Amino acid sequence: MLTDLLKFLKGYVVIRLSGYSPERFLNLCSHHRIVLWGLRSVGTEYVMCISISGFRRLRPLVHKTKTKVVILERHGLPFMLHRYRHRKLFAVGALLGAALLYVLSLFIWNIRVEGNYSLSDEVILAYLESCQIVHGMAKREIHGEEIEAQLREHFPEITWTSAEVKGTRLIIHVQENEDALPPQIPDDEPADLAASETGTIVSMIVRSGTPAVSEGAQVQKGDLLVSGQVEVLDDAGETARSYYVHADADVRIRRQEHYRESFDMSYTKKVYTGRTRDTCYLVLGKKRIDLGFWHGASYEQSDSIASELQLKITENFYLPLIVGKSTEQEYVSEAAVYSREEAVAKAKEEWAVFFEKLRIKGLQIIENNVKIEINDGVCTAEGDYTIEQSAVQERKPEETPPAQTEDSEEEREQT
Amino acid sequence: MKLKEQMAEKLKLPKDLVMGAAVLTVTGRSEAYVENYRGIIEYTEKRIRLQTKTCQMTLCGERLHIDYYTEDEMKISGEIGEIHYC
Repeated sequence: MLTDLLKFLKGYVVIRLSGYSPERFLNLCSHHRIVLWGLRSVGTEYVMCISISGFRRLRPLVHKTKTKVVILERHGLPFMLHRYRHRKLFAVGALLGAALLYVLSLFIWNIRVEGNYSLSDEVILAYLESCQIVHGMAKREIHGEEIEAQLREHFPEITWTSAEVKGTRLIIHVQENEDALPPQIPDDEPADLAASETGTIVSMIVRSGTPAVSEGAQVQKGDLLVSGQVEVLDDAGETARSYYVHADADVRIRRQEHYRESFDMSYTKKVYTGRTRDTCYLVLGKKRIDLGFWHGASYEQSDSIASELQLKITENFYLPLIVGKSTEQEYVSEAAVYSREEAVAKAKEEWAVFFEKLRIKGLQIIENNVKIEINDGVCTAEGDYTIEQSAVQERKPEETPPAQTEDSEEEREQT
Repeated sequence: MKLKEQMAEKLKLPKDLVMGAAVLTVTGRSEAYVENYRGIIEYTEKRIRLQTKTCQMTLCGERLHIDYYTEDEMKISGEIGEIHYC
């Protein structure tokens, strides 16, 4: 493999040797360290390969052995260069191509966000754009730490970020706090627990702190549930002393909500005519160039589905060129009316989606009295439902706790 | 000559170095490497005759072909039928 490459770079010729004493010629060649390879005898003649430098030293040997040498083929880079010596523009083009590739590699052509769940790519990209981090910016203007700090500051949900430049690609790795809670109070500081929802308490397990309400109580949002203040009673049943702890409890609150969704029985239906048309386009930087040569009238109403592909040279060397294909499907709007079954199915589907969302949020659905009615061309799903959820919120105690000192401890012992 | 051979035997020196003996390595019947030869006396498709320091070596066969060929080593390929010395 390597020898083949060397042979190509240095160039070689295939020669035909004929004459009185070819063996003597071969021996002389090896004696003069002229390398021959691919030696073949064809009848009384010999065909072989020889390097260009070797061939230049051949003349005295040919003369001495009275043989005749004819060049059959020329191979290698020196001959190619010679053949294309008049094609200067070709060389210029190759150089320009290489230069262009180099210049393109100095910019960012693709920004990718990884690891985001609740924040969409668009939101993060839009924020980055406002920080002048855009497609097509120079790579050296990217300061990873700055981007990371800005992102963390702007999105409190993001707990960790890392900006990585790979090829022409900027990859932003993001780690989100899955349930973005309000700033937590450290465990060693006193805290109260308050209700985060209005409803009835169904269960209450207190691990530390003093319960302020009991099971079955009606609470409003923001009401104190568990106080961080713990009172120490003396023999007479009076408060001798109180201290503060970080309250910790599981409280489940049940509440009733009302559900109402309605929609018209009549709607416009899309009837696809079956006529479609494909167009291809290029996106060069920010400019879109259509490649389709379509001369017919455009569709009055149509859906279009586009798929795009950004060109890249290696896995991470993206080019500022996107090839896209869009398919338009023509349709005609038609007025239609839901049948009873269709309407019920649609309403049920809507409400299933709604309850599924609640369930994902961690809410338990206890009772569901939603009913579907169809009146005067309107389908209505309406009813009450009961849900249960864990609803505690930490907050700082209203009174600042007195500093707990060694003295107070001693004082109590003395009394 | 005898002395040299004995010395090489005693000192455990490689014989091809001391006595200039040719080294022939044959792989199957399709490839042969020859080292330490002096020159080519005859080369046709059916016969390659080489001169070594002490004797001549002849390889006979079909479609014999010299892949490469330098001052001290050569590679022959083809269908080797017989090898003899004279």
